[in-house]
Amino acid sequence: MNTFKILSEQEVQKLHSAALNILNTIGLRIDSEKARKMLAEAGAKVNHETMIVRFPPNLVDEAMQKAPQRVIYGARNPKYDLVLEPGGDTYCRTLSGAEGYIDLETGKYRLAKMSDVKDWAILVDALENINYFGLPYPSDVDADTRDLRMMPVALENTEKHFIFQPYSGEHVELMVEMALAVMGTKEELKKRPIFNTLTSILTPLQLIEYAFDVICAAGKYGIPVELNTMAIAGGTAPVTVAGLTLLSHTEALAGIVIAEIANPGAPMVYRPLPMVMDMSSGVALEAVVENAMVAAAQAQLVRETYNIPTNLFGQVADAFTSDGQSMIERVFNALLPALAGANIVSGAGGLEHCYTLDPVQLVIDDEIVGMTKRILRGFEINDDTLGLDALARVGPGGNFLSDEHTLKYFKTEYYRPRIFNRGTREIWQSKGGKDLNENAKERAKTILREHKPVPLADDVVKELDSIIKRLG
Amino acid sequence: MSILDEMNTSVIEGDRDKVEELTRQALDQGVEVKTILSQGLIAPMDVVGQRFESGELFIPEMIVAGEAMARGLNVLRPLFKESGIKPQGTVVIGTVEGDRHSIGKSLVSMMLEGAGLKITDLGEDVSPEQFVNSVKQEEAQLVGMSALLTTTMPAMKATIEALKEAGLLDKVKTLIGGAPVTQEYADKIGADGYAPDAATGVKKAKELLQALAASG
Repeated sequence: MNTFKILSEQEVQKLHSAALNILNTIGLRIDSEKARKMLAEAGAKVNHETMIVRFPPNLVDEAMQKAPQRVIYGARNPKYDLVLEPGGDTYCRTLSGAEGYIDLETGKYRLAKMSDVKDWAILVDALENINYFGLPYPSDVDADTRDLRMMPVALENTEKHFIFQPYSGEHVELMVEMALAVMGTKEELKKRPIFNTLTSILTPLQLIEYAFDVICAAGKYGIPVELNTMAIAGGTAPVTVAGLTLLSHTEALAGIVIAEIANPGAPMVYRPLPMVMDMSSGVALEAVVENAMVAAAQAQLVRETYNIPTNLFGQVADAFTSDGQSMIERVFNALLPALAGANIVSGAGGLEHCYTLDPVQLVIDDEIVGMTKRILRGFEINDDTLGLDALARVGPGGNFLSDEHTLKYFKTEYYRPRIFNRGTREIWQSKGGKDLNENAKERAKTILREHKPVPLADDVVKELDSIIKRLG
Repeated sequence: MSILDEMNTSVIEGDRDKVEELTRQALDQGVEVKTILSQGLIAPMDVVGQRFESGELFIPEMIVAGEAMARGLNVLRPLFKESGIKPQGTVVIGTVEGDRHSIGKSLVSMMLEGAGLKITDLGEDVSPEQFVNSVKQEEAQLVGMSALLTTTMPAMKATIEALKEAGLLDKVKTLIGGAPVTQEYADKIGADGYAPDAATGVKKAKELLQALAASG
């Protein structure tokens, strides 16, 4: 299938040179002295007093050349390994970092608990089209160490890869320790890291100390980093779609450049998260329809310049519940970057920009992703698929129902959503006349009741427990 | 058009330079300070506020109107005492220690300025000591604190405690906000108020200042 190109060649060039220009003339404010010294040595123009670091274009290019175009996201079970590479499969991840949760029983909003972390991991383990995930952030656990305490729960309840937001460089080290309990050796972990980390550039154009520490610590062990930037059009970024695209892209690049200078060859994933300020409430919106264009533009921009793995939003909504607004928002925002060649499209299960997770939405997103992947698969046109022989056999007035061609293809041609309502109204009504959300809720409950993730070995569980115990 | 009418238009249009110029002209013309204030600066901001609430006017327009009004206010402020005008309130605002996020806090800061309050914006990563010192220096009546990270929220509690230790809590009200902050948290740490968004923050700030003035 041809990749969707939203930008012309000239537009790609214009954005690319504008980004290099910003890094060269405005630069970033970097408060870590260690980072500034490192960058100065690498050829950046550093002013220690103002803390401004400017990156000459050749330094940016050199660093970006070191960023691998192929990154592996490993999983406890190798069948769930993800290969992020040019022309590779497109994957989906859930939203990460949300504290709000829509209770599966009551449908009401509340804060997430540790038991939701377990449920979420189980759901992801069972849902075919969700490739990896971030977790709800529980409020019933010590805030400073919850990022660590969640990890064993994730490891125990799913065999899939996951993303974590460590609160410090030291926390990364502890996460690595836990991952090693599962993977065995540092070499194996580096080859197939079972988790990746998320940290952020502070828009506009700032890198704060803890983020630099996380980048360095992750790079040391070959743990991939999805380096967020959260530019808000009209607030921390220019208000125009073009300006938002540019700043968000520039920052995402800058983060990767810094990571590659710190640890050449570090696996990095380009991950801008552009937002738009709602000029009525001041809230930062993620699911405006224009973001679909920004994401598509950014996917194309990276593909046509450095071609490193990209993760773009995504199945995301500003809606507060999994209603029609949510569905409209997430389909536009997921489809365009997927068509434009993003390696990962993320946000599944998310509501309220990035604040809330909803298990019902997650189950529905599993279908949306399934359909997106079906579109990306395209449809092959050859003599057989054209059904030329079948047409000749069936001829005018005949039917294809039991033709060998139908039997050959019917199961794989059309995506069959599990939770959609199809058939006739009478049958639908006789089964209770449930809508999509009710069907999704039922599926979620069935999964939680019946799906048993492959458990970790006892000794691994013991080791994880002992690491957590050290936190006090 | 009278000079006050001109001022109204210029404030609503956010013409900062013009408002400053017109304020001086009005003073030169002998218009009373309190008249310039109420009819030339506060009145148009009331209109701006109403239009914002009804959805006709948006945040950037409201902010530039507020900035224009503040320019006029700065011309008048030195004359308040001799005119017997009590200042509407002095606010110290900042993002708490360890937190470098600024946009939400800056938005509130600008809107508070547009409400006619005297604002000292301490920026980001502001320690409890810095808040205390600024409150003393500015003789502030309200402290606004913002945090975007759950890991930096405890600095709000620390700041309130620092204010208490410095003996300032009976003279100053505290107002908190930020994405992870809740009313529940505000109650837990003894903050006087919480606001979920900027516009509510301004309302709450005014309420708290009025309550303080009434009690004091």
